[in-house]
Amino acid sequence: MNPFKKLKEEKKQKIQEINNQIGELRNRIDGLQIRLANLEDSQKNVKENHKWFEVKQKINDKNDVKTQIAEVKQLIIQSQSKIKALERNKKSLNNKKVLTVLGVIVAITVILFTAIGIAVGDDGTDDSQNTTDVIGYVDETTAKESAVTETTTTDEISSTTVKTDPAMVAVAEAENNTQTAQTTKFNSSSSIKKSADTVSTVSKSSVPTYSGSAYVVVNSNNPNFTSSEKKNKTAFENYSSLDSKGRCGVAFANICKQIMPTEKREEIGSVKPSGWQTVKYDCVDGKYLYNRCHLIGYQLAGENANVKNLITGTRYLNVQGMLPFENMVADYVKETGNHVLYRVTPIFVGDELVARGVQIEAYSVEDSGKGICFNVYCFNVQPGVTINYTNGASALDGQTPTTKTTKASTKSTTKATTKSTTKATTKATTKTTTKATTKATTKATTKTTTKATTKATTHTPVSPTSGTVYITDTGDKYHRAGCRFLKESCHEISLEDAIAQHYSACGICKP
Amino acid sequence: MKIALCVDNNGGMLFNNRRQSRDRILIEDLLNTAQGKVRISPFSADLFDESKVICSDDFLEIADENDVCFVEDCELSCFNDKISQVILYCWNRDYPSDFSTDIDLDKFKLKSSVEFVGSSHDKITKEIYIK
Repeated sequence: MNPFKKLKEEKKQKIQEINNQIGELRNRIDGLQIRLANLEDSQKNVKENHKWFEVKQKINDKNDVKTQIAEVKQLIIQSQSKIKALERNKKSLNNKKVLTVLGVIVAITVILFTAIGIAVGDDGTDDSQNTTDVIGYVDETTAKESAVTETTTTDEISSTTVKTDPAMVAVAEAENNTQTAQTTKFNSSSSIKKSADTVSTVSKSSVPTYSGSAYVVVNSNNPNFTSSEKKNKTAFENYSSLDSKGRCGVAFANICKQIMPTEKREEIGSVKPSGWQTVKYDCVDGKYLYNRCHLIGYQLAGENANVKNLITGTRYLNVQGMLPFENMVADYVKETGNHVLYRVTPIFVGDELVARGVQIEAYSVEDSGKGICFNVYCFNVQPGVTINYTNGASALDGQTPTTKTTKASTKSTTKATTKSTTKATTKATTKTTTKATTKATTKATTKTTTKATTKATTHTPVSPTSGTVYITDTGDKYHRAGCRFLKESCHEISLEDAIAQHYSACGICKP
Repeated sequence: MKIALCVDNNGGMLFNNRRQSRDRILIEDLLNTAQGKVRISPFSADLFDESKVICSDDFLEIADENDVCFVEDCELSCFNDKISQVILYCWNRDYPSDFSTDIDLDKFKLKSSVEFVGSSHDKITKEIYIK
């Protein structure tokens, strides 16, 4: 290959690499600024967020937040100066390009004159050495600068690629999507709008596509915590303020035994997160489509009726998506006494009131992630139900989600389906549906009800039709009669009461 | 050989190359059940006192009939013929998993089932299956 062309290619590559590094640093700064805003917010709200703490603990936490703010500001300044250094490198590389071209021209000129000189008897000098020197000089300088660049920025790049806000996530190959999670990607930060109150919104195309698994792996399961965060052994909890639409932002805590709850959870029915609707479907475990879904689970931090910690989440998101991860973290902390950094980011598209999903990142501090380390995106979906994320309206698949029709048809569908499954005959279903629909006020509702009922009876695994289930003294599941988990204790309870008391269906007997 | 393993409600064992959970009392129970040294892979070494285990990469290959092997990160389908007993500890919890047990328990008979309270788990079920 032509050495000049090779040199040109190498320089082009180096400049491209520098541009990439600058881009990543800028994204990192964006992420840091979001974090800074969160911290400044939580600094104002330390008293509110920690009202059950003792006064001394409140003061300690205030100081912790202050320290973290200082660290984040320092990181922003460092990143900005690194960007400046990289831009200087780029500029000098460009200058060297010019110098290289000039050097080449000079070299060629010298060679020509030498050749002419030799031809006319001139002894000439060995200008190839000069050429080599010129090129060598450029190379050495470039190499030195590259080395410096790599030295100063390698850590930053590696930390940048594992850091930043939820949008900056690497792509990985898609895997089998039946049981295991897929690696996925959010688009670059250019598609993220960061509102002043730090709610994370993305473009619709950035949101991962649901394909049967309750969650997908993000960034090869590497969370985006900073190196200083990963060393933090101080308990803290930060909850973003709600934005102008009442939507939650990032919730970030250092989970440890100190902040885990010691009392049983109380009712949270008074909280209505953004996009909240009360709607039931037979195809939903527990019937209610939506739960008041904790960002940081109650079992981890004891936050219950905190509006900044609750989103409108489907039953599927709550139980199939988020709960397994919360369980893993909670049991790890109970067993080891270690700290686990735990951050949950609800992801909204545009002005939608219901989150499309949540990103959960976790990292165990004392063992540097050997115990707990993950970065996942959990889908806020409900199989069999179509959700309008703009306002939380919903309908069974195949129908258009509208608030009024959905509610009316849901109520009548629920009654019809319950009766039909009791009788367990298609004729009964038809008759019951007809009765239900004659009560409905519109033709459109009638049709909707009929279709919905048919679907529900055909496809739905129905909860015990008698409305009676069984719970134990210690578990948090409800069971069918005869389930093996009822050996030690067995208490009869109505299905509605079980759901109201936040029991969930047993995965073994599947009531 | 006898195999001991820990699973969640869906038969899962690992997530992101890390165990789903751990429990000190479960390990004590396992050691009591084994009544001797337990064979393990290096992956499980941090759960045990060094003096109570034999740690090796090929622990399943070299285990003999009466050895108890604690398995966390290995596939077992190729050792089906060698396994005479399965000691299955169920966490009774839902955890995420990307690696699950591949033992076919249909080829075994449930001999006993006991529940106990762990150090960090409200209820752990220990089921013993024999061929």
